Amino acid sequence: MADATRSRRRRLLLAPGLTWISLLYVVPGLLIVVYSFLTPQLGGGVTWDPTLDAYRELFSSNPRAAFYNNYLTVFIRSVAWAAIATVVCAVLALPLAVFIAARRSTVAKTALIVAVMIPFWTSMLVRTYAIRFLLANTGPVNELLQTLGLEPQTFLNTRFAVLLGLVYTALPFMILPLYAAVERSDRAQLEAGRDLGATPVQVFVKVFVPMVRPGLTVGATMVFVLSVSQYIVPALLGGSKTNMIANFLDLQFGEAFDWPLGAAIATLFSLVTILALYVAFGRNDEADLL
Amino acid sequence: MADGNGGAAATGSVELHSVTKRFGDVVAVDALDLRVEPGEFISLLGPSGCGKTTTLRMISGFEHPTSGAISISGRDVTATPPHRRNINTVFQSYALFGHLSVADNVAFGLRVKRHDKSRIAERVGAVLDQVHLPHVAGRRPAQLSGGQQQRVALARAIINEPEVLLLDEPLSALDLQLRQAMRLELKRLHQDLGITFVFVTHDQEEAITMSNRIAVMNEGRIHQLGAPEEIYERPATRFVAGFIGETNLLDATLVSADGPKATVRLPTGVTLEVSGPDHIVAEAGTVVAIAVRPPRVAVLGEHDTVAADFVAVPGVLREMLFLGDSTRVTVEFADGSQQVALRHNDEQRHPFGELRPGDRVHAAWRRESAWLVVG
Amino acid sequence: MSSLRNRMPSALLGSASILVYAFLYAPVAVLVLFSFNKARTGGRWTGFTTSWYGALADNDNLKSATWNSLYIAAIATVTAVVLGTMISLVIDRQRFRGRAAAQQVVYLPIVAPEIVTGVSLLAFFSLVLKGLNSALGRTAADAFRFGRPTIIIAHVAFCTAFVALVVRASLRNLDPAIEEAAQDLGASPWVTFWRVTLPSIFPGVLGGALLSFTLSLDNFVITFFVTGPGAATLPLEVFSQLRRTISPEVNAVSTLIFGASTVVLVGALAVQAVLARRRLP
Repeated sequence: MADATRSRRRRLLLAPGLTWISLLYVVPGLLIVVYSFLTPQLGGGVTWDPTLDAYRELFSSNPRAAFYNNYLTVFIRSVAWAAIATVVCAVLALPLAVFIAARRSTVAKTALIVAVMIPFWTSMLVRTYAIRFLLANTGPVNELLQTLGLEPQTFLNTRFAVLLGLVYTALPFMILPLYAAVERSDRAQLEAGRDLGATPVQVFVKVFVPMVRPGLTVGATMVFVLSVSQYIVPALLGGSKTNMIANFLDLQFGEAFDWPLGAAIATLFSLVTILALYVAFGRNDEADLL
Repeated sequence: MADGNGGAAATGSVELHSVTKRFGDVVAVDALDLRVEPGEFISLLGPSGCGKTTTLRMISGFEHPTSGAISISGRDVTATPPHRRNINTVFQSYALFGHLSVADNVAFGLRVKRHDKSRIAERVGAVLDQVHLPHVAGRRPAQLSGGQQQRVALARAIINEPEVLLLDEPLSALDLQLRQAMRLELKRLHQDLGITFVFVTHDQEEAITMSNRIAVMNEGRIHQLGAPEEIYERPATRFVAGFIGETNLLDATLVSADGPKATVRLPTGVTLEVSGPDHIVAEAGTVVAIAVRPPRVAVLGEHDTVAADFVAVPGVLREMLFLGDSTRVTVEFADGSQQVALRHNDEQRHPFGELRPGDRVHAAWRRESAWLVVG
Repeated sequence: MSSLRNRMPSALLGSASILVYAFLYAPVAVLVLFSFNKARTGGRWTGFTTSWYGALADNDNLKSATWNSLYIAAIATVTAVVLGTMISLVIDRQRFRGRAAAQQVVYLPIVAPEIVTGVSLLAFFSLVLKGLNSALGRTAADAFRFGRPTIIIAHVAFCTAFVALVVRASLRNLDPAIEEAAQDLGASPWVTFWRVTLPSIFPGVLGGALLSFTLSLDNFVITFFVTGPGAATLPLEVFSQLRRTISPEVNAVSTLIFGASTVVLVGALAVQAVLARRRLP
């Protein structure tokens, strides 16, 4: 039937793009999983010598570990910090999202949203550097403190700096989906809640939050995945004691030349990320909010 | 479009030969046979899901029949892609090109076929006049009202002088007033253009007002094909009777049939003579129905005389409803079945005299007003 | 709206919002300010100067890195727009077995953490390059290496996914009957695409192109792992200069980057708004 051949021909359009993405995302991903079961080669790369050494080392407390931090510590640290960043972002983003959605004039709304989008579109490197510049030992903040007669502080290379950086870079990713959800929410339901005798707090908790839950989920997931896999923020604002997974992986594939170990970490990390994404988006098509 | 076909008589005809369309397990159109005469205004009428839109889309070429053949103006087009059939469609959503002006929308078909540029502007102007939209050529569709957009869609289609014009529920998005005005305009346009119109609708009033013939469809089949009056007065099946206007359908058993006349027995025992289709093919004992339109039902008091040519059934007046222009009365018979009578409200006297709910009455109608429906 | 306003006292919401905006903008604002500071280092304001911007003109590394970035972004964007639009046209308009799987694959670059993609591509390209070199007998001088080509190939992959996402959103808003209408009027599928479909989704394609260009220009992590000698991009160069010295030129280039992305963003939104007003019912 002419119908069927026409659609088959049309489907060929899908091939180039899909192949390109598969070749660069699916195949290398599988390759990494394979590498995690091989032996490191001096100077980088792997030799095709299957072993479980990489995974064994991941879960051991090995002398090498002391030098590079225990792998598990780095992993837990990354997840914990990402979680904290997510919560902080949610707390900061919610009032802002409500504020913007509550504006009566569309001009005001647009201006306010564009004002959020500008940092969103600015290079993350620039924004992270801005924080570093601000918090440097001889930077503007310390200058200000000294002018006020206070002691200069060491902000950089600390947990605080990295957490601040995580929140700072990820915040717009929480604001935008949350705003979209608040904007789309049915205001009449809030009124109905009041009408039925609920206090403002009750309405907030029992009606408002569930209504914007999809936006919260999208935002939280994006912030979490972004934060847990951050490279630039810990690299520029932290030190070796505040390494996160990404910096750690960089070490294994870089200086340490232990590709299988890096591959093992990457594999486990991917599994955790996939799990998080599935929990958030698996059943609904909430990703369409993007 | 100049075409080697010299059969002027056949130009604008549409023929569907045993066309079936299946979507997986669902049969949307079931072995449909239909011949649309050149120049006529035919409506495909039926409820949602009856297959009328699918049929239209097969004629336009956007659906492929699972089996069967379609011809337009005598040419088999079953395998022809839509852009090569010489017909045009007015879509339900109008489908105007948002990125083009009204004039460019209307000119699209001509431009694609590379007509002479100077003539195109002329034709666009002429067609826009024809649909009463002379001053909007430079605007964008987004700036027009629903009714105007609809007319642009029409203009865009007819400028190509198609052999057949297909209309897929084009009036459904308009409000009542506009819809009624557009019905008349479409009718006038049809007369002016003289081309075949195939019109899909679920609104029976629309179909009756505008069409030369109506094909009443349900579940992929044509129940009846005929002129509006015929469909209204002499429905072929219960479905048609129930779909077109309001009708009373009384169950009855066939006693005997002789040509176009039959004798039936009502559950209450009353035997009546009824007119039916020319050849009544049913055996005695079959359950049939008699259809009587509410305006044809008279309600008489218990002791009133019944005229000779009237059939009367005793019952009780159950309900009387004032409907503005008319009054609607429900009479209930002994077996629980009901009949509805509808009378125009007269200034002078109450259409149903002194009768009120609860009274014992007779529902009566002229023998010729009833119609036998088999199936 | 009033019901939202009543939920949280307006004043509280307002001040919280101002604080958040201050938080978002303060660091960058300070950076911009100090890019005009006379002092080489430190946070004390010693006077106004534009000399650091002038010094940028002599910073050859930054200049060649900027050129690389623009070149890569341009090529990657053009390719991604074509591939991504084609993907959307099929996924959005047709139903076929494997459509869901294809959709998931297209989502991969969007949801995958860049660090994982980076190291995977490092491993993948290493293998492929090694294989190609040995198969074609190339050694040392003329061997295939990591460099601009590997960067471009990597960028095309994720840019395509984002373009597909944006164009798909645009396609969803488009009445599918439009394409049927065009064919009904005599346009073949090919003509329909060029005269009706593409112009209709043009704002979406443009948005996708912009997104792709920006993502490519700003990309750090993935580029970091697939780059090679002589193929520094602007983010990579800035990062390495940051690591090495305290250079106020970095403040200047950062300000320029911030300014450029803001101008482009606002410009793109303005264009989109104008286009939308003329088209949508």
